[in-house]
Amino acid sequence: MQLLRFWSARMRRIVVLATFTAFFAISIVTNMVSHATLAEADYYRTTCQTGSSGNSSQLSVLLVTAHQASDIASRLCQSDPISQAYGKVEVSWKPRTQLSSQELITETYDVIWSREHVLIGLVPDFRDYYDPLLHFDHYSVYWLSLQSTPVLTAEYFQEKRIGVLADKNSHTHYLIPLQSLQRAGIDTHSLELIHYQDTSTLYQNFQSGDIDLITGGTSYTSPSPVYSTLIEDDAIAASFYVRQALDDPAIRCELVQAISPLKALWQSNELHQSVAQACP
Amino acid sequence: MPVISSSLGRHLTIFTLALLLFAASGIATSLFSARWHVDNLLNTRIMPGLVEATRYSLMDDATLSTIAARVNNELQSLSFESWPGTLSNCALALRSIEDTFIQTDLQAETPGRGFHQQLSVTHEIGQQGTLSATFALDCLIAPVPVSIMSVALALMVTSLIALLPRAYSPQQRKLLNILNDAGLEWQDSQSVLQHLQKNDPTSLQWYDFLIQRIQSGALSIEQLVSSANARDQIVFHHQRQSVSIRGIEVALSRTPYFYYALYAHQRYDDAQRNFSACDDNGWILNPASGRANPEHTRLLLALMQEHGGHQKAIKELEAHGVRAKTMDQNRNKVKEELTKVLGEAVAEQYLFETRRDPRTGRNHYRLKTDATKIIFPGQ
Repeated sequence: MQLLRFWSARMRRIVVLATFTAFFAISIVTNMVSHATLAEADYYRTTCQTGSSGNSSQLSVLLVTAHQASDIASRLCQSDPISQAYGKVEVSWKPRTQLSSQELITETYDVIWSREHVLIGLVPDFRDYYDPLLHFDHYSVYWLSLQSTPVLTAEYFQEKRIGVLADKNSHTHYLIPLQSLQRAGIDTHSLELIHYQDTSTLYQNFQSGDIDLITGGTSYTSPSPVYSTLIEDDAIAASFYVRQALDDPAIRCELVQAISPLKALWQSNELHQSVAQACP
Repeated sequence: MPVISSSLGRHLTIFTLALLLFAASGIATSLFSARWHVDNLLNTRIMPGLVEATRYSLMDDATLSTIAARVNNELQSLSFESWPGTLSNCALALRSIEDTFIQTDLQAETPGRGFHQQLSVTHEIGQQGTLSATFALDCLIAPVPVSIMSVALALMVTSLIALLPRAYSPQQRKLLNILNDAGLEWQDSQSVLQHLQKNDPTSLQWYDFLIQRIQSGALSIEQLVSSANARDQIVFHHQRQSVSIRGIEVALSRTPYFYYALYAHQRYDDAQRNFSACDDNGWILNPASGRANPEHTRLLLALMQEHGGHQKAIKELEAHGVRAKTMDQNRNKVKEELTKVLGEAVAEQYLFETRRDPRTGRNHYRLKTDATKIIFPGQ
């Protein structure tokens, strides 16, 4: 009570202000969002229902890219033979580097789009689990430059920054360019190779001039004029494999039909169907 | 009543201000903290997921809308927790990847609803690349939790402020200190202060006077307490020739006291006789030599004879009547004695004022104190 001797108008104002501030702080602290929840999920899949009620089985397709993924899914969901057998279709474009041998052995996917050497690399007797369904041939790969026509000589490649993918299974963006340099007798150790995590960054950096040379297929359409030199006109594109256990020819035909429009990616390429009997 | 209503008004203002402030700050805080959490999620989970999903894809519109549809579907599971539940409903949606705008069904619902925030993120991919995207965060505020929270907090803050005691003026605090040092109980000094607070504007001078008097020892604590309870008035005690001013008794010399009482009676009686609004009364003109006012002489004689005046003074009055010189001397004596006890500033309010008579060149004198404050006990 003795303290009230100091109870001046100024002191009272300070106490009023302090009380106000304290409650203001309480209001802020209590209204603060304490926790935000978001279900764990990946963004590399699309699903659809076939409309056959009560059927819980799922048809899983693994692609390399999201390109046409939802079209493929909806074509499969609308197909009669598939909707009779499956309740749901899932099309995934999980990064190809994440495919595991366990997933191959347990046959997680009914259809896989990949290269045979990659799959055999994961599971040597992969062909005991999967049959070829469809493959594309004869696509062309080029050296591309915005400055001058690429010449396969050590002089030309000297002092050039060359963009490749960090994914060392990539045909177009890793294996073919390195093989091409090796065949031309150019020492790849003396060159400046820049590794990219994804193709769009690779293309972005090529267009912005950060790198001088990249390789590309016919599907790459450059927004600015580009000089090109053919490396290979008979590159093997990725193939589609189907689980051996999925042996219903009607379903295999539906799968071929749903996937075929992807050939636009290789434009003029021939399509080779690997199904034994002809599809309508 | 006006005091109560003005303090009620003040507290109502505080309450309204607090209510608005707490409601606004509550809403702003929840929105900003939600945004902070979303920014976190974007950087740690959503953008890495988006990078993963677009890694080997050409960025054509159809591909991006396939990915965006998946992203937006998954983002529906987003929810926020806060103690009062301020945010009732929040929707986060992917609006564009790089420069490609995403068409979604969600867009039709969201604009114009609640609070909209646009979030632009640029995520680094490896060391060379970036992926940029924009998201929209639309939040609805739950009115009930916000109102309850802000009303409750505003009520608490207002009642706390209302419960705070009134501030003491510098004089009051000085007096409190002195009273405390003098050993007065806190409760007693509180009641002294309460009484003093009721006083009119002259109380400022009164405080100064009290402080001075107590410090110099001229005023006892008992006198102070009785003064605190007293009204602003001057009481004339003829029997013991002293006046009580605001409860403080000042003993005066006998003869000067009766002269003082004469002026007081003049002021008082004039006011009693004349109820006009005009306050121009109570004046006593200094008489010319040898022409004493018989009325005043008679009154003064009666006072002195009845209450034990000096025989010498009575004889002189009987012989010469009231004389200007004697009046001047006694007024000065009263002034001297009153000032000695009360100090100049306070005493002055109970002393004399003067007016010059233009015709005779002599002075009128009267008590400065308002007639209503002059008290004659038993009259």
